[in-house]
Amino acid sequence: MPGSTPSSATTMTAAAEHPGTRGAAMDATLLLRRYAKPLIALAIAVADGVVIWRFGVAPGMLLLCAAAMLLVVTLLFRAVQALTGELDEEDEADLARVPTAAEEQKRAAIEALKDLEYERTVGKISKEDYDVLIARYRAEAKRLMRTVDDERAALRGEAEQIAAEAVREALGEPAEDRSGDTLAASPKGKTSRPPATGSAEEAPARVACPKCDTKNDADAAFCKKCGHRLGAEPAREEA
Amino acid sequence: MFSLASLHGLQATLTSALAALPGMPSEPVEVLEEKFGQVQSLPAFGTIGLYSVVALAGLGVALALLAAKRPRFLPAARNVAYATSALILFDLLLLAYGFVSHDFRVRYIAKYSDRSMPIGYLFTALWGGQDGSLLWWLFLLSLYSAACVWWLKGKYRELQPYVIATLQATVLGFGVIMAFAANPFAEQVAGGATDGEGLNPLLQNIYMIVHPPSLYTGFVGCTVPFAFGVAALATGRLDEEWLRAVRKWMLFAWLFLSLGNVLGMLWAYEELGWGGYWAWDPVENAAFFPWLTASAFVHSIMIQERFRIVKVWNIVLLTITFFMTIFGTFLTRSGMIKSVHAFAYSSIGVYFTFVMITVACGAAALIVYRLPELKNQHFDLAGTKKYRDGVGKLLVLLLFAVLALVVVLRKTTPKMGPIGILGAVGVLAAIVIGEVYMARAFPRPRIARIDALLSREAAFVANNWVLVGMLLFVVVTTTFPLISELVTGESVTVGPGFYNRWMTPLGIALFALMGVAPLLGWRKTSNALFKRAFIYPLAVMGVFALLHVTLGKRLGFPPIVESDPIYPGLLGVVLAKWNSIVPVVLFALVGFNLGVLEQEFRRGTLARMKGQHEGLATALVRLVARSRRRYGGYVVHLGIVMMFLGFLGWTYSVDQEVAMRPGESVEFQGYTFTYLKEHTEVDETKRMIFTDIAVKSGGRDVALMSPAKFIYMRQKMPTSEVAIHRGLREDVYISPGQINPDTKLASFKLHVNPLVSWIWLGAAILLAGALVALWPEAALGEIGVAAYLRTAGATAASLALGLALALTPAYARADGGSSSMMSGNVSMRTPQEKQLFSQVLCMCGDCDRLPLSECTCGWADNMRAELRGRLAAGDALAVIANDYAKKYGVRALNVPPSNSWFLRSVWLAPLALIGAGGVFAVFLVRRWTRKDDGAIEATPREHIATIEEKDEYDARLDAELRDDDDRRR
Repeated sequence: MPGSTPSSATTMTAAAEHPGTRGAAMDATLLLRRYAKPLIALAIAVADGVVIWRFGVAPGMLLLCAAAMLLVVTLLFRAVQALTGELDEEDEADLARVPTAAEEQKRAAIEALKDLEYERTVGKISKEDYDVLIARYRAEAKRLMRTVDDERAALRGEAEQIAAEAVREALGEPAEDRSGDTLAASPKGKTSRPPATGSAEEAPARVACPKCDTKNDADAAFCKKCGHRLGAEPAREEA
Repeated sequence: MFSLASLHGLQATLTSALAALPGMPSEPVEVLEEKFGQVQSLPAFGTIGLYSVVALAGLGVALALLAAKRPRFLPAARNVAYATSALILFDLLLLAYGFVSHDFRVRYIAKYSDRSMPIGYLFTALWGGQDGSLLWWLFLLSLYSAACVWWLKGKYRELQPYVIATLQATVLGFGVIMAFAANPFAEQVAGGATDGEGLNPLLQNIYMIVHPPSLYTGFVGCTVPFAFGVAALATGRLDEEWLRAVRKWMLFAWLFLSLGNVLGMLWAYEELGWGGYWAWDPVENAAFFPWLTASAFVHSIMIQERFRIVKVWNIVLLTITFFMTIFGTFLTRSGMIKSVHAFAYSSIGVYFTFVMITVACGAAALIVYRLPELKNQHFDLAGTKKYRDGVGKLLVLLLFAVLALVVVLRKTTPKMGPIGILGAVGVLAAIVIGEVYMARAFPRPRIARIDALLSREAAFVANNWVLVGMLLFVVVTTTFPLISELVTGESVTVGPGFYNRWMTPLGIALFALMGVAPLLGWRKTSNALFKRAFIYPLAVMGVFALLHVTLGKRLGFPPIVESDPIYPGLLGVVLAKWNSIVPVVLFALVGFNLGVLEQEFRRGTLARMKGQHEGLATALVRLVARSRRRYGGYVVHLGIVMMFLGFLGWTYSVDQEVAMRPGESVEFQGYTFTYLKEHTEVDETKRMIFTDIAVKSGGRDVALMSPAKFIYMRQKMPTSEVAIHRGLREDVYISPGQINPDTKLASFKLHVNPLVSWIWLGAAILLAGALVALWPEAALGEIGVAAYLRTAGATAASLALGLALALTPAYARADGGSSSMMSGNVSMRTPQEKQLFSQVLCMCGDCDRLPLSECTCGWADNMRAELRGRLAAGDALAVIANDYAKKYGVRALNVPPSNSWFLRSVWLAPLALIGAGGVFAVFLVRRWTRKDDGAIEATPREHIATIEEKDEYDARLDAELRDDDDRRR
């Protein structure tokens, strides 16, 4: 029973390496993937129940140990996959946008305004103080809203530039000399700085390897699967 | 890439190790084992598992730190963090398997279990001893870590890598401790035994099982907020973002710290058999430390949320809280301080010392590095650079100081030595001097954001001051045996009498502040509003005080209870006088607090009924639902009020020794106790002698109580099982003494403990309040049914799991009966004897924390006889106590005498620190309140005028405020 662990891990890996065929089979795969974790947990629980019932607690514990070890192996495998970039789409959503400092501060100002209103209704603050404070916090909230808008506008501009560049690259036009670092750090069009709204949709297209047809990052110099040279940018390769 | 290579290597190791799992059967004892066999390599396998945890956690730290710069590494770091948790789970399960399969080659298993143990106890033995309980600790940490990583998904993108890195680093630290100093898989030197020693049923182990695990959930929970604090410092994102992330985690941890402390009290009450619930034992104190700072933190973050000040203080509080969880464990685990339920001495203390040094110095360095941001300074690049350069130098200095400290510690542990203390003080001094030096690099911050001393923020500052003052007091007195040993060579223990006398004023100050703070508004409270807010609670307070003074005596709760001075001279008299009026003060404050809470709920509800035209019930429910944190907090306050009422009852506790033959009765406190008969029952492990006592009050039957003596066959030691009849007014508590088999004469100690049940009741309400505050803020309408269910489900599940983890150990032992080492009983015949016995501590070596008036061991019995003899010979109390101290050292006295400056320092030093803190707090609040127009940093006043014109943003702001209303309705 524990001996089966490596082999089952391999099966799982094999499944993960070929992330489903496109099209109709997609739905089934997605569905399976969504419920895979609870199903496996349930299966192990049932199996363990049977083992405890038929053979006693000790073998049951041993089975649980094996399951835990299987979990460790699976998780480590996923970690390796993440490092090599062969991760499920689901996990890439991790890099979603987060509120910026200004947005957080705006949120705090709005909470303070709400709180002031509340304290006014229960009579914890005098009318004069209330007016002064409300004016102060409103002004601050407005200032922060303006900042948020400005930041977004700037980021949108940046995102549009990245998108435009990606389109140009895809069309085979020579790339503008942009900050290569930013691109290298966020190959999928997601910045590590407070990311822009909508930048995810405008991600540069992936490049298919001419030899094995694996999708590679736009700036990849070699195919991650077969190692075939992807000749788009000889200049960056040197560096 | 190194990480890839090591990953593959690790995986190969694990897989090949796994293949060895089925093993060959050895020592076939039962059919099961013939079929499946013992895992031959279990001890080695478990140890490898521990090493792998260390390796994986290290990998997790590395990947998470890499992910800070390269987001692509983040999913890998997350998965490794999960894998570390899974591996710890594996190790725990493997140990459980070892217990179930009776693998007595493993020392830990042989020591804490035997073949006759029922399966349930085999599982509780998992955390029954030092090594196993550390594994349990690590397991809880891994649960928290996994939960936090899961919760972080898609959130706090910039903080996330550092949070994961800190969590993994903590796992790494504890993993190292376990792998090298407390490996539960270590093998017996003498080889496998045929049977284990079994779980000792006596007190020592009861506490090992019950008390710590319930606290662990709270202790370990402090790691997550700390990780966020480190992340905020590391990224420099020190605005409100991380605080918002942290507050629920902290509240969660705080809830379990409170629960753990109360559970500890409950068990002390039921197990120790001396009639009380809190003895200021080092282990209890250790659990109290982080509770104090965590309570301070949940209040002071509100100041930061509102005014963006006290950032440094909040980070420091958070660090101290985390530090205290480790320090507390260290105190009780290293065997440095003797306690009733300390674990055996081991080398573990050295490792803990290194962890503590790392935490303290690391956090201090980060705080100093981020001081410009923390101080709200936005100065130019050159200034920042100058500052950072200075910090660089300071860090080098610190590094040397730490190295020196490490060298010194290596030379002096386990005795630590004065040089070690000096080194620690030196490092702290270096940090402080460094900060002062650095502070000159940039202009003083000009903060004028608070308008008055009479404001809620000022009350919060006072609250923090008292809480930290209490912490100082308890830390100094708890470590006093160590300090005094270093200074004078003699370890002076501080008994409960000392704490009770000195902590009461602080507790009362805190209790009063708890009532005052909600009445005050932020920034300032005008005179009219001040009156409006205070009149009602003060009136209630007056009524309570009046009722107590007029009716108290008749109902058996006199408002003033005289007490004996604990010191000769003026100090003792002042303390005793103050102590005597505590009951009426406390009761009046209970009234005040109830008035405040009632008024808060009433005004809020009325405002809603008027403003939103809602009915009473709707208004009340929506009021609470709309600001869960505020009203949840008030419910917590209500719980604390009830607990204080329970503490008040302790003043009125009375006890008496009696000896009866079957059929005889005694009168005590209006109850008639009739000793009916004794009867014996036997099960596989013990003989139980029950003594049935009928309790009547005014001719009415109250209860049939059966305190018992259990005699365990294996250990041949009798234990006492107390019987408690609980009531809202008072508990009747009977602790059995000796039973003479020939004459049938049985002795008992009868206690009547008023109001104790209110403590447990208050704790339940506190729990409910914390649940209200913890409940997710998301509203059903906004995020949809599925998401709401998921959020609420996650909250409910985590709370349920936490409760289960916290309560299971208690439950696991509850059916085992409540045993206690106190096999004898105390007999004290005269008030004079009682006074003497409460002054001196039992010095038998096993239970030296208990005064002779409470200790029931045989040694104490003989000593009482001896002292009784001297009293009969006409010696004065002071002389006898003095001789006792001469014979056994100052540590044998319950309250250390105050006759030298050094011994005075045990209360003088904390008091001086508290006083200095008070001066600083006043200075701080005054600086905030200094009128300094134009210094409103975010939006200067002249800007307000210009921005006040209406523009498109006003409409948007109004819309957002309305949305917020709808969302929360």
